[in-house]
Amino acid sequence: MKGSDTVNNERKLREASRAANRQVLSRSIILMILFGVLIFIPLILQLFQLQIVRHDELEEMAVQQQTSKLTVSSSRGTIYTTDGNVLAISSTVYDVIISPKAIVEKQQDMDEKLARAIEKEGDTSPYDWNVEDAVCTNLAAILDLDEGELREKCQDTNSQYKRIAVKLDRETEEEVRTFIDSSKVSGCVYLQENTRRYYPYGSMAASIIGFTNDSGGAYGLEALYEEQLSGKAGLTVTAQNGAGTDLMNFFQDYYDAQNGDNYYLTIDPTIQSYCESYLEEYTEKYECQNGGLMIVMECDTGAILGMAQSPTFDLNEYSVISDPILLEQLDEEAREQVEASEEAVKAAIELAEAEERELTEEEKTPLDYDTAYQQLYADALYSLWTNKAITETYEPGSTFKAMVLAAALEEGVISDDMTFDCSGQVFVGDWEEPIRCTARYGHGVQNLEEAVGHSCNPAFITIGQKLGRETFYDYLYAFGLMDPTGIDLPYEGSSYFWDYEDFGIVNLATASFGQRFNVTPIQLITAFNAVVNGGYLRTPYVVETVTDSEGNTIFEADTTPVRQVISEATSERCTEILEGVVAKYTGKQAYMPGCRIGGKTGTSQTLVDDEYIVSFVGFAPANDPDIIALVMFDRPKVSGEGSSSTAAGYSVYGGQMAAPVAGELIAEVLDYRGHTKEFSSDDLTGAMTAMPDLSGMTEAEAELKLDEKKLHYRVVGSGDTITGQIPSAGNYVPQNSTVILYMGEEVPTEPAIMPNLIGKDPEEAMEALNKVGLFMNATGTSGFYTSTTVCTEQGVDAGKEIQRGRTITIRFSDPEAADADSSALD
Amino acid sequence: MAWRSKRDMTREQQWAQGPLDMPFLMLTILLMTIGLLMLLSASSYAAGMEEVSNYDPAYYFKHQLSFAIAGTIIMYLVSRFDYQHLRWMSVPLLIVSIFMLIIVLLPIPLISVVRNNARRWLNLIFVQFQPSEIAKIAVVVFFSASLSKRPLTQLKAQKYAEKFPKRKPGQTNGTYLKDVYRWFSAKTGFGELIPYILVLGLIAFLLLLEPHMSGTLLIFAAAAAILFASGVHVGWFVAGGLGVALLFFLLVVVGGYNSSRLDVWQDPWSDPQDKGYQIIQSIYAVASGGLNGRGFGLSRQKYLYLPEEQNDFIFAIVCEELGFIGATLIIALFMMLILRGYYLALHARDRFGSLMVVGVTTLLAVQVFMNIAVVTNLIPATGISLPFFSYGGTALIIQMAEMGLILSVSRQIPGPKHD
Repeated sequence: MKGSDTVNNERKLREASRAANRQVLSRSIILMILFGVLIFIPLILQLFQLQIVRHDELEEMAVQQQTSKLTVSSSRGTIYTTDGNVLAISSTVYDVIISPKAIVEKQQDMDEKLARAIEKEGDTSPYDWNVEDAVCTNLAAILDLDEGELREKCQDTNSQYKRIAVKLDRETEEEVRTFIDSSKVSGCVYLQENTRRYYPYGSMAASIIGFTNDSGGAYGLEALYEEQLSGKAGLTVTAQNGAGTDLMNFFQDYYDAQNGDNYYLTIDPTIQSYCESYLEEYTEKYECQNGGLMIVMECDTGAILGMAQSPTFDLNEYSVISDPILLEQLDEEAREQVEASEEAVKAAIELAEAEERELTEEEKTPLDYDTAYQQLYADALYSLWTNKAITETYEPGSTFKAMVLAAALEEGVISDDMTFDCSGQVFVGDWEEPIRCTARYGHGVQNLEEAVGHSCNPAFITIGQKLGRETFYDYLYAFGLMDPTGIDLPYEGSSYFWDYEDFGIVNLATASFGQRFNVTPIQLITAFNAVVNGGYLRTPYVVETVTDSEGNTIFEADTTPVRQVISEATSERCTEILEGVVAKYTGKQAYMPGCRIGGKTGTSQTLVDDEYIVSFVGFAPANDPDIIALVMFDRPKVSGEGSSSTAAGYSVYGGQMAAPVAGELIAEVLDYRGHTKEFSSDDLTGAMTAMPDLSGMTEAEAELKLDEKKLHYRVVGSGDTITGQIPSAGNYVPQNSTVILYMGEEVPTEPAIMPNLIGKDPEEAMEALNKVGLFMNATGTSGFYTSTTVCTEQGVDAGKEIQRGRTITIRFSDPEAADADSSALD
Repeated sequence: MAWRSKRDMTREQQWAQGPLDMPFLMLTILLMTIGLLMLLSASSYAAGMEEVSNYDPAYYFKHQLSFAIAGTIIMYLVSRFDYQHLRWMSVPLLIVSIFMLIIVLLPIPLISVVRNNARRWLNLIFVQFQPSEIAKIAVVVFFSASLSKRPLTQLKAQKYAEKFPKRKPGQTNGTYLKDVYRWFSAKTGFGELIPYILVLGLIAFLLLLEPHMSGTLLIFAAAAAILFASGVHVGWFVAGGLGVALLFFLLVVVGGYNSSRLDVWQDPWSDPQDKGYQIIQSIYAVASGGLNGRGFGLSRQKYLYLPEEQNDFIFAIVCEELGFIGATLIIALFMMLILRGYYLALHARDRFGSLMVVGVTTLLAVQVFMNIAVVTNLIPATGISLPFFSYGGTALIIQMAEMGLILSVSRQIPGPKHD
């Protein structure tokens, strides 16, 4: 029995053993899959994640630590005028850095040396001083800093870098240098290079050039060409090991520093300064609440010769407002705000008392002056920095009629033999109110030239209707008024105009005389230029050439026109008509004898009553326009509600305010650009001519001589030969003047007394001057003057003594003629 | 051992003279060679800068090379050794290894070594080695030898349980607790696990005193694999897994052990200069490799950035120099070696051989996994070297000996029958 038991056991064991073997087999296969395959999948995924997905990012970080980088700074490019005057330049200046850590270490070193010196009974004086005291006291004195603050900075003894002063001027820099060299504080105090942008002309062309702040170019060209101007900092990359030692033989890369490009601008400093001084003078005279702006452009290229705005700021101190009028305005506004706030608080307190309610401290505190002023100051700064000529839009008003005229002539919908009847008002479409013309009782029947000259709104409504909505709209695009001009300045704005669907008959009517839509000044002058320069739309630009740091020219302005909008013939006809506007009609005040100025006045409404923008776009010479200028005065302060003149008596019309300034500006620019004056027989007085020597001649001989010179004469005395003359030989007088010949009588030697000419018409004025032996150079009117043309300004004040024979500039104006460019939509 | 003709040998002896498994041998030699070359590349710069290496850039390489040669010889010798002898040697080996694990904890002059606040090394005049390496083999051999006899022990246990009189309901004499235990262990098979749990527990306790977390984990993994392969009920592994998880929770979360290590694992950049430094450097090296790598010898991170670049973190340099492609290829080689190991286990002549190969192969697999996972920050940092690659002479020799053990098993695989 025992035996069978054993056999049984063995059989059982064999079975169990086989079962165990099978189990080992199947379970080993599971282990094989788990440890041979599965556990490696996350590893491969993780490697993929690190080596492929995050490779760039992490390698960058690795390279950061594996290399030591030494940057070599590049110098910022210079901005020049075309003729090489520096407008913006960078120079190296220094910052003062202190190292509190080094100060502490130096002190420890000093203390040790002192202890040793005492021990050896040697000289203790070289070591017996306090480093922090030396640094703080001296630097505070040199840099004019608060010593307490300096000492506070020194408390951060872990720091090796505390900037305590930036961009030192040369003198202070020298003082700091001397201090560092003479005392033993090297390592504790040091100078660090920095750059400073300097604008030699200060405020000139501020809105164009712009300025740089700590993060680079912030406004104007400095911002637009930041990358090109700043260049590329150079870099030396050296591999280093984990201990920070350079591995020279491993690899080393050099990237040369590339200095910034230099920019040459089309801005002419002379023309720019004309613009700026006129603006400064007249914005004050006209009490412009929002300043003014001027653009002078070259007709054949689109180059901006001058672009100025008032008020402006000094680029070297761009966060300081220096304009006294603006400061006064800010002060006034701040006071008003404070007052209003005080009243509001008072009212709130009363109300709260009535309602028996407690007010919070905040509600009870009125606005204080400083807060209000600072806020206004900051806002004003932003406004100063903005280049309004390209950024802000306005209603162009009547100046826009030039484009309507050009389009209509080009399309052939109007012709010179057409007449326009104006009754003073016109009804358009289903608009209930009549659209009025400035001439209350109408201009009557006018030909085209007169209609433009009078800036007659009903006439232009007719012209607009003849053009039709579609063509009108097409011309807006053609003249570039619907897109930014593409001028190379940052932050350019663009027009607002009705969508085509909304552009109905009433809108067409108002648009025809330039109202109820907005354009930027640069868009307007660009379009206007296309009207007068032969029909070519030219992109305005300010950068003439760009050179790289080695002087190679890398950019030249492209003056290819964008497109031809109107034909040369149409353009020529337009210039004739527009010259007529200045010679005879609303633009008369811009008339400068011999300059052949053409142009169009404009008075635009704003969203606020009694606030107008007066403007004038003029070009010259009319036979072949060389320059075109836009002069704009923003919101001259009218003397009272509903008044149309300023307290000083200037009428708030483009023809009265902008035109005379534009005339003078254009005349000066023409002269500067070397144009000779061209007088016509229509001029009241002509070109200056030299007085011939007539002494000893008979009257007949003299008459012959004077006729050659286009001079008239009158005789004093009754001798046979001429014994004296005014002016004396060789002196210049305007042609058409009447010189005085003395026959037998003595030429009076005492000076003349300047007569009062204000209010006199040109004929009377000339007579009055001639009587005392003076001559007249008339501006503001041509030979076509009306009975309302009177003298408004005389070059020499009445009652002043003045040498006989002198020519005096007299300004005339025709208030009625020049007023007729105003708005009409009530 | 004098040469004897084949016919003079016993059948067992003849079996032991069978052919080596060539794929396994070749993979081992290949990995060892690549490992040596990578060690040369990784260690040369630092070696050239250090006093301990006599400023010899090839210092580590030369050392490792000599150990590699010795290791290869040892592998061959072990492969010639009839592993059946290990059956009786398993218990003495275990006792010796436990003894050494105790010795290593004692501050005995000249013998004990303290590195990084840990007592893992024993200094035996010429060689320094980690007793935990011996313990690994000892555990594998002991578990394999013991569990290969599992059918017999189970049969005995069954018999014993049958002999045990069924308890009558309501019986509450003094033997109650003992009875319940016997019943429980016979019914559930827990009884057979007790010796293994005790052995593992003791060894884990000693290792954690060093402390040596990664060594503990490796031994646990290998032991678990053998237990699993031998057919222990899967439920016990689930329970064991939960138990280990609980232990970790107590250690890490409640005990605060290594919790900063976990923070650094999740965001190495939270402490980039100190605790996160090494892993950041490792990540930089790995990521810098990209797809193709910088090229052999062109690592930048080995320039004193990556600490232990020739040791635990050598694989980061491998990744940097050989890229994703190279690193994946090396992982593939490891996978092939491991798969071949399990293949040999499946074909081994007996359960003892199978289980032993499973144990050794699992050790290798888990060690490779853990090393690469640490280097790539997949798991929190723990000191664990990469077989065949990391610098360390005795570790390499022991590794080769383990490979020899597998080869020894491979010799006794019965050849295909030729009918």
